[in-house]
Amino acid sequence: MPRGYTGKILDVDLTEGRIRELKLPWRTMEDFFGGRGLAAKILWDRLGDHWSEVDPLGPENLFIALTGPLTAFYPGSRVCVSGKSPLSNGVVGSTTSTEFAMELKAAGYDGVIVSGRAEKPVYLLITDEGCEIRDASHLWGKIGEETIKLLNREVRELLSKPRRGLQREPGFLYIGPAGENRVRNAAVMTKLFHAAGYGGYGAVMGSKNLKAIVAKGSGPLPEVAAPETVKILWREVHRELIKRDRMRRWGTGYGGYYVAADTSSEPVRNWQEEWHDERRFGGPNFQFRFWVKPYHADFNCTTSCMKISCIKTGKWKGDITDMPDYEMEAYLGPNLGVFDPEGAIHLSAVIDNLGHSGINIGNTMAFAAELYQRGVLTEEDLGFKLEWGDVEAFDRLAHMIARREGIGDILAEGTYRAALKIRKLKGVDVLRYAVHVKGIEVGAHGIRSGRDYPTPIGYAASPQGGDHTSTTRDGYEDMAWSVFGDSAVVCSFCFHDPLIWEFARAVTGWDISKHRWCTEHGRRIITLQQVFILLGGPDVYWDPDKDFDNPPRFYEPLPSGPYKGMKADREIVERMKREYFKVMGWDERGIPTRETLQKLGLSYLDPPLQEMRR
Amino acid sequence: MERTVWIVRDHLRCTGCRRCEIACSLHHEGWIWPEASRIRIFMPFPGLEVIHLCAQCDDYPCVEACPVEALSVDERTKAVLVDREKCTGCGVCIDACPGQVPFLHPKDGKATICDLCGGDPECVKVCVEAGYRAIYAVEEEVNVNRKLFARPPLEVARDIAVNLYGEKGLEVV
Amino acid sequence: MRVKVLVFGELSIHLGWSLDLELEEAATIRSLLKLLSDRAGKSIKMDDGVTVLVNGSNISLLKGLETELRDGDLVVLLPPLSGG
Repeated sequence: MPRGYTGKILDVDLTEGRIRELKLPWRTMEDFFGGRGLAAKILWDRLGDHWSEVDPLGPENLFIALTGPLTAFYPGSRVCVSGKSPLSNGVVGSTTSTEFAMELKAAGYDGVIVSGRAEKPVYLLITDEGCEIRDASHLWGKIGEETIKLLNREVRELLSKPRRGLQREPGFLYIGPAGENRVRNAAVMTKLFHAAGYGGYGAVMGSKNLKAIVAKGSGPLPEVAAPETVKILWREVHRELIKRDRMRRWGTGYGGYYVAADTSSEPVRNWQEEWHDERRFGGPNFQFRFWVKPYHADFNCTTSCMKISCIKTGKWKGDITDMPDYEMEAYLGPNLGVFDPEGAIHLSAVIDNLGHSGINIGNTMAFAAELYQRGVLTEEDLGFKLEWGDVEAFDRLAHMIARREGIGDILAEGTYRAALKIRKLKGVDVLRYAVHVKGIEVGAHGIRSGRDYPTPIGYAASPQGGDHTSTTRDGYEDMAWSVFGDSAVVCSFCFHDPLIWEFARAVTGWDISKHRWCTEHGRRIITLQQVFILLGGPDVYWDPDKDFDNPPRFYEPLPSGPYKGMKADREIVERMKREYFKVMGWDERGIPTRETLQKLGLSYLDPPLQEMRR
Repeated sequence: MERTVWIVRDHLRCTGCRRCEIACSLHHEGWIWPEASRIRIFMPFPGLEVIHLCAQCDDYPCVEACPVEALSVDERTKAVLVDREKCTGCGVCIDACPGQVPFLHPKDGKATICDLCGGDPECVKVCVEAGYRAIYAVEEEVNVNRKLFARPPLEVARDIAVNLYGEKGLEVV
Repeated sequence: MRVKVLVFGELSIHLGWSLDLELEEAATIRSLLKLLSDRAGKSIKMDDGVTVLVNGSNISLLKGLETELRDGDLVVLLPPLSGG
């Protein structure tokens, strides 16, 4: 019996209205672990033999929400959502912090797989007794705040029993109007301001008429292999996390200033620049006027880096969101030409409530704004002016996209597909302004200055494209950070080497080490993800000779700041990419070799790759 | 007037990490079991973390109400003690409590109430260690004010909501 | 022998981001880092979280600091991973 897991996964078919319990083979669980890795394996098993034909927004696609063996034991409880990504047509492991992850395990389940499509909006309610499909018509169309309020009350009342004690709130993940309307890069939301943003899985939920998945368990966490060791390690790792004073104090939010002024890698006006020196966009300007809770955490976390902000005066009074959080800060701030904290906070609250992904839709809106700047999109196309820095205009645009109104219908396709459409409509090559990799909009850490952590191939060689939380480095350490964190499923900001590996051994009883994970499991998972990317389809296919690359913008020299003139170097990108592919055991074009597949136990992936190899 | 340990609770400082629940259930149940923790964090809306915990009311309405005399007051710590043999799981103590703090154990259905860990509460240790000090232990005389902290969590949440979110707070719970 | 060194992260402030170096025949990563430390005016230690790649491979998978260098090698110095 695998330890750390409950051993059961819910398998829900919304078309048939049927619910089953799935038990996976132990070997599979050990090889793919959980979360991102296990989701990829499930997706291959169910859809792999005709992957290119599967429509990510059709009933055949799976929406998967999975925990991992470390979830809820190790600090930073998260859930990983996955499926065929409507953006990349590959598979992304997208995580978000939530008590849902713990509640699921307390109820006796490791995860949920959802297939098919419900006739009318529904939500899933998971308790110790099992899973129920419930009507969500009254929730459809509701923004984040309303959804949370209503679901908390409804489920509390539903589960309350007289004279047993007060019923606590469940944990849940949900979508906003953006996901409901299948905005291709929509997020899966939790706790108002947490999002599983990359991959567009909010749209997958929306395409299934699935508003939310709710869980409330009353049991203890699963058994582990070495409970006394886990108890000791639990205390030790928290002692270490508590020392991370700067992370707690700053969160990621001070980045709004220093990622520009210092490392010169923050997107400004659709990445046209990556430097600014706007001191009013620094941490203190958010902290002293807007923070109402300076340290906010999720289940079993002492990094507690989140800050809750609330606007108390003026026209945006009542906006609640976690700001500054670097990615939101950058993408709804300087990348839109907004350097005013209050404006960025407002946009963050709007985005959260609509269930957009701040990074991805921020990228798409900036793309639109650049097209407006260049006269490709006009006031007539948009219905209004879209000037840099105009918070009201971006507010309006975000709503239009969420509702697929007017130009919003095109932009709702995500930056890449919107660019393709606009190129056709306007006869202008706008793809050069689209900052995406393999359909996934790029996170707010640029590569041109060379001062930030993503390498020149960080996005270009990654099967998760622009996902800044999972960038490629050396086919070794990159596995430890994101691939392990996304599969164990725990928050990367609670990652501690070596304690996390000791913890993993104590929970599962398996022979896990950093080295073994990085050379075996991690490579196995990434290789599987690479195959999904290579197969792609049905609307878009990636060409290994062209698309495993940085966006054109990253080859333009930086126009300003101390790193003015710097840009990505094509020769270096090509060389590093080839070297990375070699380390991974893939050919020069990034196609896994038969040998490598064999070594990783993935021989079944060989047939579709044979045609691709030269 | 004797001095006893009392747990101060400051909801505004609670981060929602729930390590207190983990520490409590590790101590009392031997494993991580949030729904069996005697200290319970409610969160009707993000940011509105409410620490729900026995306040050792000076008049002990729960003890008074128990029809089978399963509840008693510890001589030394003044915490409420539950005799699990006598308890029938009727839940009357829950209704008697001004904050509806007690709950029936998810496994055996017996009334479950904080016993202050015999005078050295585990929950405060992890909260203080983490630097949040949303809960911490003091030694003070038993007094009538303690009862004021036994409040239904939704009521507390409404207060916190206005404190944090201003007028918007009136809408979110 | 000639070796190309790319430096990313904060170290690039002290070293520049791209160096073409002439090294002695028996050069190793250890001797290279010593040379770079002298140039930078600070000691480049592995436990500062600096990752070193030789032709794309992390030196932990090669011979660590004793990894030998050859003519035409590409050495990359990377800052610690993070992300938000």
